[in-house]
Amino acid sequence: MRRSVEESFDDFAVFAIPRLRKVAHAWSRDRHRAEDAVQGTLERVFAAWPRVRRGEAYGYARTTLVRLLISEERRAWRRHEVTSDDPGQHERLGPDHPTADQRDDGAALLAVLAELPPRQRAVVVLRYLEGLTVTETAQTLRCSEGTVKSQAHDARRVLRERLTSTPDVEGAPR
Amino acid sequence: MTDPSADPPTDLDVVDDVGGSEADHTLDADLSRLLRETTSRAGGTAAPRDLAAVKERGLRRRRRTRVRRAAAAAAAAVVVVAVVSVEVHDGGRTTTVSGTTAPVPLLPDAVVLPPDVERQLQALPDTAGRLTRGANLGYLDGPVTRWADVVECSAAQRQAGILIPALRGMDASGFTEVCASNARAEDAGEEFSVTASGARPTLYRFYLPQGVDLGQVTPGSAAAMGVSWTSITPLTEQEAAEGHEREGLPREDATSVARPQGDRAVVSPVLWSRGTEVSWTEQTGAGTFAAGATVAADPVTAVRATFDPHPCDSGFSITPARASGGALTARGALQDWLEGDDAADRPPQTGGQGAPRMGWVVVEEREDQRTFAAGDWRVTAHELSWSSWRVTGQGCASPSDPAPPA
Repeated sequence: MRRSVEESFDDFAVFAIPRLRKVAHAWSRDRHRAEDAVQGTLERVFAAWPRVRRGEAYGYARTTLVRLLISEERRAWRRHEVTSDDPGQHERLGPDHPTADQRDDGAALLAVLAELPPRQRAVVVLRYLEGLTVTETAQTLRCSEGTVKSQAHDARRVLRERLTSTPDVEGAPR
Repeated sequence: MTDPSADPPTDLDVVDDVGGSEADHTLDADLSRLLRETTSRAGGTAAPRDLAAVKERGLRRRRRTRVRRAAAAAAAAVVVVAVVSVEVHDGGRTTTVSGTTAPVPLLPDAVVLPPDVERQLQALPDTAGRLTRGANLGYLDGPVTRWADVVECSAAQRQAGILIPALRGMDASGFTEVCASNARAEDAGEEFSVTASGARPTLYRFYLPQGVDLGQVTPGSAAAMGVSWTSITPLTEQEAAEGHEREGLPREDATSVARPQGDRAVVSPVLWSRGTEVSWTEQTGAGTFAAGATVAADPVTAVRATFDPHPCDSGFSITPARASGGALTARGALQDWLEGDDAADRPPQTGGQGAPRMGWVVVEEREDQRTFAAGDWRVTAHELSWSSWRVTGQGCASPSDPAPPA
């Protein structure tokens, strides 16, 4: 029986799932949402698997994931629904944050990231986390390289301001 | 596949910030490292149960896609016909097309068409090359590179978010694959869709015989040179809908045949050269696309080169997670699988995943496993617990498999 298609997808999934989860988690700060997004992505990839070229499978999956996340972000109800089994990830930053320790630095980064517009957030995730070039990022987001550069510029400015400025009295990152 | 986490980026000039200070670049590096560290615990592992659920839902998605494709199948034909008409009527003087079609080599496992489909294709009127072309037919006489630029296949596909069709049953080992795009430079980076001005981006995949350069190839002479190609172009929602309404539109020099994916493809001779056009519709989450192949071969060979070799290859295997809900016998499990929850939506002669509904015989029998065969199809049922059978695998017969008993 010919089962190489199945087996190749299983191999790919073992490789890809942890990486896709990181991308989705960086995007959403929410493990459940991240897991949902990864599962939804893999469903789509599996549905198209016979036509997906093996050497391009991860890039195809990552593109699918990012577009799925951007698409879901446009659903207004999603923006206010953050669930996590790690409440500390969703707390607003206190006066001692984000420099208290590495964990809080990370939480602060994800919190600021979550406030970025979807396209800017996608650029940051793809460039900083996935290490894509400007060209690759533009291809993934179906936009021009100039758009990627301007989005990245705006995103980095916000990240720099909010992560290095002194928190206000409420401790919310600016 | 590359492992992004294994190769930390050092190029962090994400904004081409040539004027950025040392502190800027240090911050970039810190952000990248922090983001990686923060998400490092989020990876986890892929549990087999995750995959089983994912694949089951993926298969349902694939079936829904087939239904949508079938509903829009005629749209591609409508567009292709329209394009051909425009090009032909644009012409003035005509000259006779001559040349012979180089045979397209097929892979050993290229799909085998049912005899009635072969007869249907062979009955197509021999109109290949019937129309003539002239010096004024810029489209036909000009090199492809006049209106399309060579692009890197995988990059173009990533950017467009769609796969350029491949000739899956064709032995492309002696050919050079070259992709091209007709997108204008000013539209680079735009979404792969019909623009507000009506411009229609199209991606191509050419199969060039040895010694043939794309710059030499004209649409009018491609088939005679042994060049085959595929294309994909977006449709508007209106075009897709109109295609559906015109599904039964008669066309004497074309015929439609069922694709292994469940929808239908329109097959017709190339009117200005020797060769065959096969057109169908691709439906993805991004929209509806007209896909086509122009194959330097007769209709039977062209369809065999175009269609996926093994419809059963898009099968599945599942990891048994629970024993409840199975059938009392292996044959009962097969029956359940064939009839499925969407049986009412399928043609009566097909069963689960498009498999034949009748003619299944046992070809392998173990204590807790039965493998059934029907034609090229193989389905395996497992006994998960006492008298609880479920289909856990589907695939194709391999060339080494013995023929099923009568």
